[in-house]
Amino acid sequence: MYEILFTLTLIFVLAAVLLLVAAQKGLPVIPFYLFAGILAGAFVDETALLDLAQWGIAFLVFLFGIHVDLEGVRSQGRIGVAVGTIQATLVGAIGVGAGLAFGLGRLDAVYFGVAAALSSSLVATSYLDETGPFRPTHERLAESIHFTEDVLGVLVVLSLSAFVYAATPAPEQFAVAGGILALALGIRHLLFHRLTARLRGDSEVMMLVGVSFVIGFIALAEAAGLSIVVGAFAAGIAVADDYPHSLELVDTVDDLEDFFTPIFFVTVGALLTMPGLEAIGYTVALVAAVLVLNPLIVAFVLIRGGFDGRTAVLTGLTLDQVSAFTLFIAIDALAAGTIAEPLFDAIVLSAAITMLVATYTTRHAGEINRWLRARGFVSLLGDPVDDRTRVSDDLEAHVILLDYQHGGQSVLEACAELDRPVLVVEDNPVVFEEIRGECDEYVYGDISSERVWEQARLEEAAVVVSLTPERDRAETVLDLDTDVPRIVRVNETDAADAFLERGASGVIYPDAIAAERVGDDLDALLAGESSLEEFRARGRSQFEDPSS
Amino acid sequence: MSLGGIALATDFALLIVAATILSYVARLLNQPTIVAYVLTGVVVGPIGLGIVAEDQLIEIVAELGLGFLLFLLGIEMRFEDIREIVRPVGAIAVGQAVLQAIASTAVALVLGFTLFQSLMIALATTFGATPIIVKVLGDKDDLKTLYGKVDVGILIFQDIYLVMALAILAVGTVDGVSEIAVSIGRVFFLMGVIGVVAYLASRYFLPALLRASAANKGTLFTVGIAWAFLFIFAAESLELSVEIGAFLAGLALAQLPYSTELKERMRPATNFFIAVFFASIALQMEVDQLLAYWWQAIVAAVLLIVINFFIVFGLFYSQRFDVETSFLGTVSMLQVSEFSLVLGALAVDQGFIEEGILGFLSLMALITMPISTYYVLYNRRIFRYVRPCLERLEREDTLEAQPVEYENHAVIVGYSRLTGELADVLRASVDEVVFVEDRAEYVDELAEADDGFIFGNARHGDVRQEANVSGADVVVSAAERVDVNRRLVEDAPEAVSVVAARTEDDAALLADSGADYVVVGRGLVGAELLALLETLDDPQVFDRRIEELNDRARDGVPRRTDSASRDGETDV
Repeated sequence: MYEILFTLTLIFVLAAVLLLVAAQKGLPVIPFYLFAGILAGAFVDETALLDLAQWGIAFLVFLFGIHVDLEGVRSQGRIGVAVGTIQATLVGAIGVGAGLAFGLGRLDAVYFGVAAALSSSLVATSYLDETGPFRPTHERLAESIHFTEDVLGVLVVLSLSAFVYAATPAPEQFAVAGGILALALGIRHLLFHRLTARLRGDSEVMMLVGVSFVIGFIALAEAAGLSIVVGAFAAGIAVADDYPHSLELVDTVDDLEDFFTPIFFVTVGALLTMPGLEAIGYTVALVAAVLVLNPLIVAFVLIRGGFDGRTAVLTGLTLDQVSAFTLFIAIDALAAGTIAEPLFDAIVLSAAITMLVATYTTRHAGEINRWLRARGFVSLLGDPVDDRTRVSDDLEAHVILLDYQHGGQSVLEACAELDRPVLVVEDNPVVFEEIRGECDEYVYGDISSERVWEQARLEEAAVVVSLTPERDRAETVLDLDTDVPRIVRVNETDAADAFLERGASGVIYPDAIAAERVGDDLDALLAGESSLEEFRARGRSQFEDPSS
Repeated sequence: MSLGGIALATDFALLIVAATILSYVARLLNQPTIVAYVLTGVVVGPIGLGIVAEDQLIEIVAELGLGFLLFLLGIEMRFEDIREIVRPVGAIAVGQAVLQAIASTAVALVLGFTLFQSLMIALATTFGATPIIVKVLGDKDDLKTLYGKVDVGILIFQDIYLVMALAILAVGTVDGVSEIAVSIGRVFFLMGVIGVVAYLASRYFLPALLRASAANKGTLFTVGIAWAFLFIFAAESLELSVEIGAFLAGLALAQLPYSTELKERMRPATNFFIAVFFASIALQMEVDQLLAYWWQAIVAAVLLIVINFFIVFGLFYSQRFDVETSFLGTVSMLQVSEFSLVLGALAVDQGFIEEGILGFLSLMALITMPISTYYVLYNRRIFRYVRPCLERLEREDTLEAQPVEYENHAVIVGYSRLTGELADVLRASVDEVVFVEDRAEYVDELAEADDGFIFGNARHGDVRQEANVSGADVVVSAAERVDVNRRLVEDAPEAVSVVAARTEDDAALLADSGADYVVVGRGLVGAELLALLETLDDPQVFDRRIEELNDRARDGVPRRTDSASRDGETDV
């Protein structure tokens, strides 16, 4: 007991200290856990932790399974699925080839390829889900690509257990895994709600039900000789993430996960031995592949697929890190004794390094994009600002509208009502199709490209309205060299001041606008000047008829 | 090294699944989960099916569960909550501890236990069962009533008593009076040292530490766990009980504003681990150990329920509570507590008592807990039935204590420009505005303001309860999550509710769930832009309108007077 208490105390104290540092600097936590493990590895016997660490994997994958939104992927993720598959296959193949060229064994070369190919959503989601459903194109694309690669991760785990860890190759395991997933879907749709309805929101028992789902499906998976990753994923599929389960079950399991996740990542770090020259060599190769090759290929494929340069580059920059699934695979392989020690070290090291770098590149994605553009990089890939533009030659005194999906609909209606010509600039091919149907004047392309503004006849325009909550985009609009008034959206008071100083004619601060309107309505209600019915009607008018 | 597989046929996994099934059944029967957990050990352990034996993982998790439980007890020790009734509650708690100990010892002696065994039984059976009282009263919405408050207050005092009992057990078996004295002295001295460290930390170190950790979702939790582990480890190293270490660690956090959120974040892990602890109790027991004193357990259970009723009722009554409060408050306390099992299990570990006594305590718990659940559930009905007998005890001049909680108030979830201005509007018509916010950057601001402030995320039931959402006049929420907003609206059907939504679909959903007013930022922006573009042909009007918009964005005049300092983000 003393030993394990010492180990856990050391893990959590180290993790807490490093987390505080990470929180101060706004950095992701997982690389810090890995570093904590490397530090702690000198003092503790990590094998004692493997049992607890496995629960970390189980909960991580379980929650990933819960959050899988099949509908969402079907409706708008097709491009992401294609891009993710192309990128992972391509880089995976290159990685395996490079691994063989390094003189690695066949299996080690496969691990090497997997590590180079897959990107992590478990880390990326922490900063991707910040702004809700109205996210810029590149974030939505990134999300579906990450999702695709996580599913690929599950498939890789499955293939490894079918062909490598099984005594004899057992392709029928894919059918078994399919059966388990089908069972999970059946439970989700037929049993889950009946089972939980009778608990009447008791979150303690709900949590146990969730944990038992994990155990049950993992038991099934293990009985079939499959990895626990497959079982935990199926368990997640079996749990419906709707109201009120999202509060009572998912959140509590989420809190539980917070206990086991650090143990997992710290243990992985602790398993690292002193890296030798060989390990460092692999690390450099992996880091290079993940940081350069992955974003490059994604950006290239996206541009070829009709996206503008900015979206392509920004999406590519979210894919420059080693996946958490790679770590699961590596630890499985280490346990099975099928991975070369230096390669394992290299994978852990490159995961820590790339996760940190990824935070930097995501945060400075806008600047990196402009830097690349200034050096002609984007046009090298073939930036397609082309014929998908329709602007009348005599267009003038028009409103240039950016970011249609952030409330642009109502601007269009307003302009139609006022007989004011309006031109939409858009960089999302999916939204663009919709715009084509609704507007007369449009330009497809990247707003950081000067040609787009020429095509939009900026100098003839009456006003530019930018509705994006992205600061970097708003700044691009403000830095345009023109006298045309520009109105941009802000989300905080400080930004309002900064933008007005930077050249904005006006700022739209939705929260402040809402405060005035709702404040007046509430004031009237509380003062007895309007009835509750009138108050409700005022509220309803906002979303039932957006143009009111 | 091997990954042994976490599921198939491992004892730990089987134990969890069995506990899930039994607690599911318990929930259907309105029984507290604790009964299900204890039964789990009986069913799957050597007494029942014999399919689970205690392995290393179970042992570790059970030990952690106990540590975390005491940590949470420490965090919940907020004397502020019972300040107004601390005197009568203290008197009842102390009187109950002394009188019940005497009664239990006597009963145990009569039943043929040795004096030492009787004293240990007395030490273990003096508590009320928190999981039953808090759970059942919570479900009945009776925690806010006077008797509920008093019961919870007594439970808080009993926690102190529990810690003392743990300290005594920590001394271990020693021979000779002088050695006992030295050992007890050592234990209390070391406890005092840890206590002083905890106190100093809570004054000078923890506020800044937690302030820094509250900035990030996972950090507060990890820092809290690390803090608990430091104390647990220190206690273990000093050969003190780890539970005491954990309790003091929690106590140091209790008075800080972050305690509610931290407690709620730790609760799932604690529930999970403590289930393993209670389930593991019966794993070490053979059937003859559980049933060694079976008839004594039944007799003692009946006798103690009756005797304790008179003791506690008398104490309540002597503190000038009215008859109804005294009766209801007393009935809730009549059962053997989960702490009996905690102390019993530790006493067995330390070699104070043999397994048979633990079996006796387990049986008493298994008998009294399920029964008491029903009489706590139907306490008012029982009171109506016995009222005629108690009528002559009625008197004037009984104690009236106002429960400390928010009333005639507005709850505002999430601090933003919008909610800040709405608070200005609301202050005129409600007694108090209570902010619920879990972003660290606003802590100082909100804590210094005159409004009420709870640091926490509204997704936790306890946070909503602390803010008394269900009793609020107005509920305003700028929470990002639709499910949280929906729960808030459903919690407060009577209140005027104003909630924010991101999309029209979410807004319609919230309105259907009962929200009176849904704020959709997009729609309002559209309307504002329409008004602005209308003026585009008249540059002067256009400029003026833009100027108005900009002024609004910059500060909230006229509703704000001190907006510059109160808005925006303070750099963390």
